[in-house]
Amino acid sequence: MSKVKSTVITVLVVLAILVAAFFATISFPVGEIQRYNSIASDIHLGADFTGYAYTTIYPKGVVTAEDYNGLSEAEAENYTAVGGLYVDMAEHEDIDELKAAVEKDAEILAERFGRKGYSSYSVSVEDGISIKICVPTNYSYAEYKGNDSDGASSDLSVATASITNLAADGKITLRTVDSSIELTDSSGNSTTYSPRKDDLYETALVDGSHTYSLAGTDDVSEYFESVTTTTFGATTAINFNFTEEGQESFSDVTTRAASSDSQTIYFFVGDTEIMSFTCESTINMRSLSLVADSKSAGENAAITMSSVLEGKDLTVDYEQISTVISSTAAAGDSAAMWLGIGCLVVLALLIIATVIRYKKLGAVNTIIILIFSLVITYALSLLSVQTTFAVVLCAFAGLGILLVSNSIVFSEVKRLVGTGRTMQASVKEGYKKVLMSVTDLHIVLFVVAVLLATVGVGEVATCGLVLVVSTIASYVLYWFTRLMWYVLSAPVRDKFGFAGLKRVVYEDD
Amino acid sequence: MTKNKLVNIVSLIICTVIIVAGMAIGTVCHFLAGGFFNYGEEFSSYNSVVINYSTAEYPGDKKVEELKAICDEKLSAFNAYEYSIGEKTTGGEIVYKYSASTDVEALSDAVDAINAAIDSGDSGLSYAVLHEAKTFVGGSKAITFAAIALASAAGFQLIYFAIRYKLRCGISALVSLLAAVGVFVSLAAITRIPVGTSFIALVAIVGVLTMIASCVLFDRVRKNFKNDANAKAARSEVIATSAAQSKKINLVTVIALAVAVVVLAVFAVISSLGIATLAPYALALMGLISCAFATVLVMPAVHYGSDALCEKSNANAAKADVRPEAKTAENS
Repeated sequence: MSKVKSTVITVLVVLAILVAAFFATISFPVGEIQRYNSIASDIHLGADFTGYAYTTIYPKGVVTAEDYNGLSEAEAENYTAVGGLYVDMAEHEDIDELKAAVEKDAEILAERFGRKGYSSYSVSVEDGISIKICVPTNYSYAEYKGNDSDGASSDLSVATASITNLAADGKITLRTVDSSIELTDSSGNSTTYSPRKDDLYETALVDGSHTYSLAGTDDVSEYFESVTTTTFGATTAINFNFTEEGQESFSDVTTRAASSDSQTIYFFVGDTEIMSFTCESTINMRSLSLVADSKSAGENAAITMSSVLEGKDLTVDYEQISTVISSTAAAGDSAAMWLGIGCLVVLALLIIATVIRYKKLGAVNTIIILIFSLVITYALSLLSVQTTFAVVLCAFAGLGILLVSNSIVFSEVKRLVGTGRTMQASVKEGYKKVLMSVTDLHIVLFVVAVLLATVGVGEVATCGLVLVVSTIASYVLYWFTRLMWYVLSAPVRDKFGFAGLKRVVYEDD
Repeated sequence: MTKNKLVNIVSLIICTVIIVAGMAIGTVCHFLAGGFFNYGEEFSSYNSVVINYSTAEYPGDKKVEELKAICDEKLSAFNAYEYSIGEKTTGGEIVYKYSASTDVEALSDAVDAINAAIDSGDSGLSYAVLHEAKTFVGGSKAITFAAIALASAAGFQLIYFAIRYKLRCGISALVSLLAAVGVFVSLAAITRIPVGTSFIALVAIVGVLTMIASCVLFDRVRKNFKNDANAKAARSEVIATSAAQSKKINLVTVIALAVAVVVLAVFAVISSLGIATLAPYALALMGLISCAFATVLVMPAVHYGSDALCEKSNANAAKADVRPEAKTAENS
């Protein structure tokens, strides 16, 4: 390769790295209002780095000190203090009984939130009579620092929906918004069917409309055998498996819903709308799969409904959740920034170590380390996965595999140079000899990573996904190392010196 | 007894002792201290002081900082393991979390002092409250699925190694994987470092690193057995040489990762000093130590043992095949 070609390729690669690194790390204002948030600051982070979204649910008749202070003297007389809260004795005569019921509900909620696969969460009973629920906000650094308010509000909505849906208490009901439904049979005779108008529900529908029970009985738990979710890429399906009687009853419900104006069936757990779907025709099947709005929404619906089907519905009547609060990061307000700095320091140390170990060949390794880091940074942002300490460790493990692969091939080349071969022949032979070793390593890691990503849930699945990306990046960059070695060493006269080696010449006897 | 054999036996004994001790201590703690592990802040009971403030009384960050300074002063005698500020539409709340063993009466006095200092009696908009909280450990879905994932990965590795190398290599890799995970879990139980949900992911990472290390070792073993220079060497010698060659790569990888963990831990401490902050880093270091122990000491020991057993049975089988021929030769 000529010097010019080598220089052009090197400059292009370095420029590409610099541009990618600039957009990955630097945030800057665009015009007077808009702002470009760097790729790194757009990565979603765990609760340690961007805090929790939390709320406290109170049984009806239990109030906070703030609400208690707002009561008149006559009203306040009925209340008694329990820890930092106040209980209306008219509603709860036996506080111990209330405490036992709340504790049982907390256990059920802990199980529901545990099924969701959060990277961290907590369900705790405060003062024995209220339940505090914490889940990660899933904010990115930009959202956490107030540089992306739209994203922050969207993430908080997802966390709020999860808390609200998973903490839903009561039975499963199927509802519609139409107070009367006209059914037409095959001969054209029409009859007006009134859903259970006497069971008018005040619901949380966006338009404030009322809902009516579509089923003969309010509780439709006996309709379902199980409710599960299946995720394929970005699509999540909620799978309903009906009992024999449930199939028939659900068929009736869908017939009515299809004949209604709204053609919509709302699934409620207690007074919380879990999901809805448009029903345009009668459905008479043993199982039904519906596409959820998002993975989180699908999981919320399946977990809550499964829990209720297992007979684990909450026993205490709780106030509706009014606010979900986002807190500062658990590991310190600037934990995310320090994590970023820490990662940069580790990369710097790796680069220094590689340059000391491999001399000029270290420059090739430096380019590869930088490209790998950028690939992972962009992947974490594009995949919208929640980055925790374990995920960062996985990314470093992926980088470790790349460096191990390079180290294996560099050692082999060194050994071959020691046998008197030329540099070019040693590199060619070295890569050929370790091909299967490196491929084996990557095949095993890739399959293991895919298994973790697909079978695991929550943080384990995220670690698996990062390992999948890392493995692919590592294998591609392993070959790219050879290319860059060739390109960077082309203008250098002493190819052996470039790799920190000395030519061995065997004299003829 | 050769030095190699002694190291192999000692490492297997240490591994067994750690796992047995971990299981024993964990089991005892399960009954005495409420858990096999020392559950971290996510799953442990706590006392919290919550200071609710309204934007009417504390508008802007500066005023909130003043309020926080008052609270810090009144609560300085207690050691909060976590502190956070939550924002609401009409104000916010400052939350200090203390371990369940904190003196509740003294904490209650401090809360009264805060209430007196912020003079919240009349308006009732800003006030401090003490809560005692009991936290519940959630469902086991994450653990179950992580175990299934890791078990499937181990199964795949066994089959892959049986095809690419030898079945005994796959078995040795499987045993070392179990040893790495067992030692890690045991160390977490013995040291009582607070364990949270991220522990499951760390166990998975330890498993993955062990699998990678076993790839490196068995690749070396295969290459060295194929190498003509080792044709006359004893099998145990070839395995010992391979273990020594792979040890360097595996140890360097683990040490590099350990350095990364330490650097990240140092920056985490700058952000917030506390046991809760450092727990994941300490667990990660423990995981890396377990991984290094299992791959550098246990895996070669197990492989050496299984190889010796297999070769012995092969030799016996060969002897059995040869015997009738020898008899025929004698007769003739």
